[in-house]
Amino acid sequence: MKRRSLILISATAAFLLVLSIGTLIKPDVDFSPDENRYLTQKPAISVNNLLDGSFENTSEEYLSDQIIGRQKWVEMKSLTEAALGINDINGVYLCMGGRAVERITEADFDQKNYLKNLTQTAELADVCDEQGISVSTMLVPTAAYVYADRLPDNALTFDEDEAFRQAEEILGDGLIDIRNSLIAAKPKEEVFFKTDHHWTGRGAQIGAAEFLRSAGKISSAEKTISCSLETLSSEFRGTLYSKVLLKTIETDIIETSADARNADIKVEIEGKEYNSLYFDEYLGKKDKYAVYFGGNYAEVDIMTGAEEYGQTSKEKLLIIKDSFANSMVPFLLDDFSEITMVDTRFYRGDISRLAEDYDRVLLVYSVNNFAKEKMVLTGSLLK
Amino acid sequence: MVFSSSVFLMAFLPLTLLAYFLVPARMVKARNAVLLASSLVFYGWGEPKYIVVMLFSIVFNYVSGRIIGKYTGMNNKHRARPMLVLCVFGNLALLGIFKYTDFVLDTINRLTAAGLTLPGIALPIGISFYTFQTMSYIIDVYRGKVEPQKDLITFGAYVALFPQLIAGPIVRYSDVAVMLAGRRTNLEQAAEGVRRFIIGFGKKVLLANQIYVVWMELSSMENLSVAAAWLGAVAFTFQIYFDFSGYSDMAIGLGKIFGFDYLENFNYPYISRSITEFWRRWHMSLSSWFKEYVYIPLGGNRKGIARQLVNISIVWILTGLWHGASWNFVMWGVYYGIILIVEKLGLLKVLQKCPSVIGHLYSLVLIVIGWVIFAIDDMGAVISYISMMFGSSGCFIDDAFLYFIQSRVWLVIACIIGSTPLPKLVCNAVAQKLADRELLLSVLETALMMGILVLAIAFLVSGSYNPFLYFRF
Repeated sequence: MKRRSLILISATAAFLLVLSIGTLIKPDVDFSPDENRYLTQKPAISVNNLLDGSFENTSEEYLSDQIIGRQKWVEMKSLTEAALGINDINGVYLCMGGRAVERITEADFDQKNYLKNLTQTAELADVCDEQGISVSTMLVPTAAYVYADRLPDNALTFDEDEAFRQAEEILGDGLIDIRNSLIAAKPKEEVFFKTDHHWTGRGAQIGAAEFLRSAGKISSAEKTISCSLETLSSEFRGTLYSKVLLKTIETDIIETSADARNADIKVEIEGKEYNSLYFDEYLGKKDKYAVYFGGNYAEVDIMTGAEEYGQTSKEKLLIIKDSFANSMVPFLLDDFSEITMVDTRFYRGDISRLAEDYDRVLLVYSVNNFAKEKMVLTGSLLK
Repeated sequence: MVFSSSVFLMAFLPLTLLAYFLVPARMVKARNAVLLASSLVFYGWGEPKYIVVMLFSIVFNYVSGRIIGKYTGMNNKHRARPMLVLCVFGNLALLGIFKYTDFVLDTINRLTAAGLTLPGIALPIGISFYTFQTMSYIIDVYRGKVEPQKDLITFGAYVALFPQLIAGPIVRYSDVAVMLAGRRTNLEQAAEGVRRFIIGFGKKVLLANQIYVVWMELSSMENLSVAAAWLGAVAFTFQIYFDFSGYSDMAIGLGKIFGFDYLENFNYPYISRSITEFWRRWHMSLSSWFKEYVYIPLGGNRKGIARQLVNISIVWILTGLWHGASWNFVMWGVYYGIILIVEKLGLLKVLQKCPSVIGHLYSLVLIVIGWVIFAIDDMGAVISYISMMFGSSGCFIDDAFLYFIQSRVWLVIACIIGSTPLPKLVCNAVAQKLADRELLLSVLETALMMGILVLAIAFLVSGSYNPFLYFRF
């Protein structure tokens, strides 16, 4: 009896000591590439911090974030859950074929805001229509919709068919519905990443072709859908992987238009000029999707065409967008003389005014981002 | 601070144990001082201003205890009595101000449209628990059942003792008076403490926090099938049991490590065959407190059946109110009061004659419905949820039910088995079998305990839902 007690007590004490002393002497880490987030740093101790509780709260996060072997702890949790058949981990469905899909239930989908944004888009289309500018909206379906057959049994999702029905009702012909094209391509190719919430290069290519077709550029659409792709990375582990950290999920391949890689263009981002839209340094980092433009900005201007940039007879295109557009733009370089991308998360100007300088306006959003956006399309946010 | 936190496990507990055991066992006052100091840090962590409330409560009850003790010592009940009334009133006032002010004002506003502003007083954690502890002390001193504690530090250590401070069990002074004066932790007791703590930690993090997801998601949906509504309610039923009994296990375990033997707080409540039995097995320290300090002083069952029913009603309205300053808790207390009265009036005898499966089913259904009243603090929402359990949505089964029952099947099975004495019986049987192979048994046990601890830490640091239900009481 004595020996049994001694073994249990010493094992537990040794374990807790290794854990706390190990965490204490291990150097702190700033950023976890795998989890794709900054880790909490040592809280400063002061009377104020102690009294308002911020020291206490931060130190809890600090110890959890900096615990020795953090990665292993998180992996252990995910593995245990997966082994027990729990298919939704941290807001991500684990699907057949080593695929992770973002979990968006009725409660997550902001129906009211979605309708508000649709109405705003219709208003923008009306304003632009009077000036002869055509506005179209591409809502990218969720991976859960396209890969519905791979989801866990009875998985809970929001009613996306209903969301698209509403979009059609409000936007009419202005809606570019790419659901069927993506679903049709799915058996042969990956149209969404397995480890990230974005669409793949192929998915974006299909989106671009559908847009061109809807704009009446039929031959360009044919050319775009069959243009060749170049692999940028085959080691991509995206945002969904970061949420579950399960090694059973396969890595993804990032592909893009081969022509766009060598295209002669000028890209202006936040006052700086570049001669490519690819930021290859991101291919060596965790967030490889940022290879397109290096991330998201309020406004990005792209001038295409040979010697005199922007001086061709081609149309000028304004894209109002989330990050889904970043991988789609490379497929549109041939067909427009100038493409401006505006991200409603950061842009604070009057978009309906901006649109006056363009021939065509395209909104590109993943349908659930569209429901989340606090967008103001007509009128300025700058007061 | 809570037990299921990184700061507690990785910093507070190791440092406190170190400080405590560096003091020799014969210097029990110094050990009590270590406990008091660390308990105040534990209590003030995140909300330091409430240390003042705690210190006030300690000093107020200490002084009252000394005065009442002096009079009872002189056999002068006459003078002790006003002091007792004053002190009980003081404790109730403390609880009332911090816990019920908003509730009372809000109720007045609703009834009279008086439009009073709610001060929004935040509840100091654990106040319901330690106020009941100090009242038990004062009343027992008055009754001459215990000697008043002369040492302020030791008394402070009793009130603030961090293992049971914020979520019970409600430890009566009379149960620990001897240990406060002198105690030693022996090896077996410490090992039992470690065991209990790890089991409680596992119940909290691996079962309660995980099954909570099911309740949270289902209860936030607008339309639920009958099956899904029941699954949600059952999930909450498991959550509250593993949450609360897990906390009690951790408290009892830590108490043992420091040399205290607390009374048990739970005894497999969900295997009950009647609601009367359920309340003998659920939160036993609270039920016995009400019995000892409210029900029996009111006359209990000694003054005729009519008076007994009144007494039961009073106790259960108070029990409901104790759980929270909201009408749904009062309803929940009334609900159990009525069921217990009906059982007392004859149903209990009928149940005893029925096959046991009827009693189990009857109790479980009533318990699960009871938890719905408890869980949702808006009576309108309670009624709409309960009507979904009985088919108001017109659908028996839906995807929500199928999804959660499939993805959580092992979790639900673990919860079912975990609420019965089965795991304990199996462990005891194995221990018996291996009685003469101590080393093998030790290794097996240590491996099992370390497995639970490691897994629970993995779930803890990976971040998910980690609320403590009994925190708001």
